[in-house]
This record gives sequence, structure tokens and C-alpha cells, in this order.
Amino acid sequence: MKIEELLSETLKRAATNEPPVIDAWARFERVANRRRVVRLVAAGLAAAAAVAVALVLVPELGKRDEGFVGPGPTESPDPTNSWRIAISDGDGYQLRYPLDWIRGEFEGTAEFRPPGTTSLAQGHEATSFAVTVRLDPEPYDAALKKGGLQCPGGAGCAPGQVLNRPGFMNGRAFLETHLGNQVQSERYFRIDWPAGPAPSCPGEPCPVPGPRALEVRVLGSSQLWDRHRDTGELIVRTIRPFALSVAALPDPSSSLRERLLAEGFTPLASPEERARVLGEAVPPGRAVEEAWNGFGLGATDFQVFVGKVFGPKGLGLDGRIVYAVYLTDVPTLIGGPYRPTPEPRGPVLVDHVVFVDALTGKALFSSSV
Amino acid sequence: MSDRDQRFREFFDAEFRPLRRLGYALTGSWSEAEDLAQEALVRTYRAWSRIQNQEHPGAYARRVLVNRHRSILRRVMVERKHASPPEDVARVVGDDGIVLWQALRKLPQRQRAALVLRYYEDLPDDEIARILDCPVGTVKSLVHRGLGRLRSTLGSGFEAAGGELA
Repeated sequence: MKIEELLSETLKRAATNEPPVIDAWARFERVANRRRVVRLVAAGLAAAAAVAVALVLVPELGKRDEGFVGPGPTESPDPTNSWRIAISDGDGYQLRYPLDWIRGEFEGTAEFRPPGTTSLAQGHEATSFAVTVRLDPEPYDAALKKGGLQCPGGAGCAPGQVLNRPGFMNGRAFLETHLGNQVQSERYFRIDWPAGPAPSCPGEPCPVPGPRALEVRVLGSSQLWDRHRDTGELIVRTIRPFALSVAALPDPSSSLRERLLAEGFTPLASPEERARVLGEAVPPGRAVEEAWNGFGLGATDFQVFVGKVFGPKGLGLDGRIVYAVYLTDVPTLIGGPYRPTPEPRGPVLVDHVVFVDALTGKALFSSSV
Repeated sequence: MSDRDQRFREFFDAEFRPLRRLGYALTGSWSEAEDLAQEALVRTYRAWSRIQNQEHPGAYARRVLVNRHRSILRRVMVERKHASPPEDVARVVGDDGIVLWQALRKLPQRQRAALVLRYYEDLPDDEIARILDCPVGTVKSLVHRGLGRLRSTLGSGFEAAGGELA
């Protein structure tokens, strides 16, 4: 008998001695509920700590030299701090939105809407309200050169009131219009946006890389306008550029790590963790002695992969050897789309390190080694 | 119970025992297998809204289980390598089976997982690749190397004698 058959028979025989299942579901419920409570308590403690810090810091700020006057009130913590984070690495922005809002996308436009409302993809309804974001390939001032704003609603849409507030939005100029009628209202923001990553547009003409404009709209039916407008504008004010860099995301070793997990992001390796893996596995600029796709190099909390082609848009890594470090033991990475192409044979020179959100397959950051 | 939870409950009832048996094939301990199955299902539940409509949510749970086993194994590797086989295994697989069982225990975790998924779960290579999160070529390599090490540990006489399982 071949060893394969012996092995199969041995394993299957061993499993025949299975004890009965007793209270498995009850035990599962206990564990699942306990973990839920732990998460809630941790979130509560974090919130309490934030309040405590704010209570200590705010009076201290009042005692400081009054020669500097901040741009706005500092009495209360920013409510957006506890919101979800949405990142678009393709369009190069990040923003925050309330926990109960729904994130969607239609026709290349990101949409964030409150619960109980209908998506703009279904047309403008009495139940519509949303904040939408899209990267316009035209530069910010293209509309100005043409003598006015291009109305986001298309032909027949009035330009509305134009406001110019330099200094807002990370110092970037913007234009804001207020379109309103009896049926719907809209605030339209056109933000001078830096050149994003090189666009990926297979099979179609690519826009010329360069400065763009980020178009952000807060719009909804007149019935819902007063209820959601303030929150919508708060969302707009959280928009920041997102670049594929370590600095673009908070230190994953901080308390935000748990939140990133809750958001479905694979957390980045902390600097210490990264140094531990990279230091042991691949000295910068050196060849890997044995490179297998999916070959676990055995560090405690990592899966280390070496392979060709990763394909995150704009990184220009196609065809290069990349080196990816996933944090393991994280449910979100299970089932991730990482499927590297043919195995490299023999020593491989690693020239990039890419950290990837295993859920979406998008790069969180990359760097040369 | 919500519709989502009801569907998970059905999934739990269908998958708990197979997962526990997979855990047993990996660990040789029913109590550890139960812990692994529970942990895999708790983590699967957390991701349930995302994966419930996937073609094989069971593959997700198996992948969690295999990864969890690897994490645990690293922490307790020293004790586990020298642990005696449990009596209940000896009773059902016989003396030759226990030799094979012990040899399997000494394999690196990924080789062991690949062999168990192939020869206990009878999964095809592409399914094993999904669970181990590696290319099919790596699965073939893991199985090949695992069998090679088993042969080397057991000696050519073992296979030639047919193992003579009790």
C-alpha cells in the first residue's frame, strides 16, 4: 500500500473515535457575546480616555500665550474622530463619514448616504440625500477659464452662488455653489486636487497626468435637506489627500489598529514588527535565498510572500518583484484576492515592499528596500 | 433570531463537526480540535455578513482554522513535538498507524496541513491553495515534500510492507 493510501486511511480511522458534540452552540454564543462585550468596553474606554484627555487639554490651551488665535473653536472634540474612514487610493483621497451612513458607488462616483435614503443611482427622489465624490480629470481652474462653473447637474442647471474661501481644505482653494429649488438642494465643492497616481485605463484613452479637481456634492431632496445638510458638509470638511505612504495612515500600533480591523482594513505592520520581519527575512537590497510564492518565512505574526506583479493602480510595480508582508491572524485577510503569478525560481532581488489590504487587494503603502 | 443569524446557525450546525475533525487531524487532540473549531467559527461569524454569499464559506472557516493552528503551534512547538500520541488514536489506528501519525506530527505545519487537507479532507489542489493562501504549485510542492519526509522518517520498509494497519 502506498504511503498516500496509508495516510488517508490512518487519518480517517483516527477521526472515527469522535466524541459527541455537547453544547457547541451554547459555547459559541458565550464566546461570541463575550468578545462583542470586550470590543464595546474597549471602544467605551477609548472614548472615555479621549474625553479625559480633552478635559485636561482644553483648560491648558486656555492658559497658553494668546498671541496665536486658532482658526476655530476648540471647546469640543471633533465628532468626526469616531466616524468611519473611507479611502480611495485610486482617486487619492480619504474622508470620514458617520458610522450608520451607507457607502456605495455608481458610475465611478463614490456615494455616502444616511440610512433610510435611496441611492442617487436610482435617480433623484424625495428620499434621496447623499454626499458624492469623484475625481474630475479636468484641472480645477478649467471651469473658471471658460467663464464660469460647469454645473454638475448638466445643461440647464443654474450656477448658483459662488463663494471663494482660500485657506479652507488644507489650504486649497475651492468654489462652492448653492443650487436650490423647491425639489432639491445642493452644495457643490470643486477642490484643487494634486495630480493623482498615474491613471490605469486599459483599452481607452488616458487623461493626461496633472492637476485635477475633486468634485464633491452634498445634495438631496428638499424634505431631507435640513436634516442631513450639516452632517454632509462635515463629511466634506474631513476630505484629505491620501497618498500611498506610511504617513497616510495612522500608526497601526496605536489604538486605531482595532478600529482599522473593525473597518475591514488589514492593519499595517507597526514599525517594530516590520523591522523584525524585514530584518530577518530580507536585508535591504539583498537577494532572497529561497523565494516561493506563499512561502511562510515563519515570523510570529506575519505571512511573507514574494512574487511578481501586484497590480495596485498607479504604483508602477507591474512586472517587478514585490515583497508583501501581511499581518496574519486577522480574519479580514482570509479570502483575500492576492493571487501572485508564476513562482519565481531561485534567488530573487526584492526591490519593493508592498503592504496590501487583503480585503480589497489595494496597496496601503509601498516602499523601496 | 435575525435572518443573518439563522443562516449562520445552519452553517454552524453543518460545519462544526467537519471542522472539529479537521482540527483533530491537525492536532491529535479532540479538546484542542474543539477549541480550534470554535475559534474558527467565532471569527467566521464576525465576517459572516461579508462571506455568507460566497460560494464556499466553509473554505473560509477552514482557512481560519489552519491559520489559527499555525499560530498556536508556534507558541507551543517545543512541548508538542515531544508529546505522546493520545491513547484513543492508538486504539483505532493500530501500531503502524501510530507510527505514521507521529511522523505526520513532526512535519512542518504547512506540509502537515497540506497533507491533511489532501488525504483526509480529499480536497483538490486548487481548494487547498485557497485555504493555505498560496498558488497551486506551492501546494504540490508542500505535498511532495511532506510525503518525502514521511517516507524518509518511516523508511522504505514501511511502505513496502503496506503499513499493515491494524
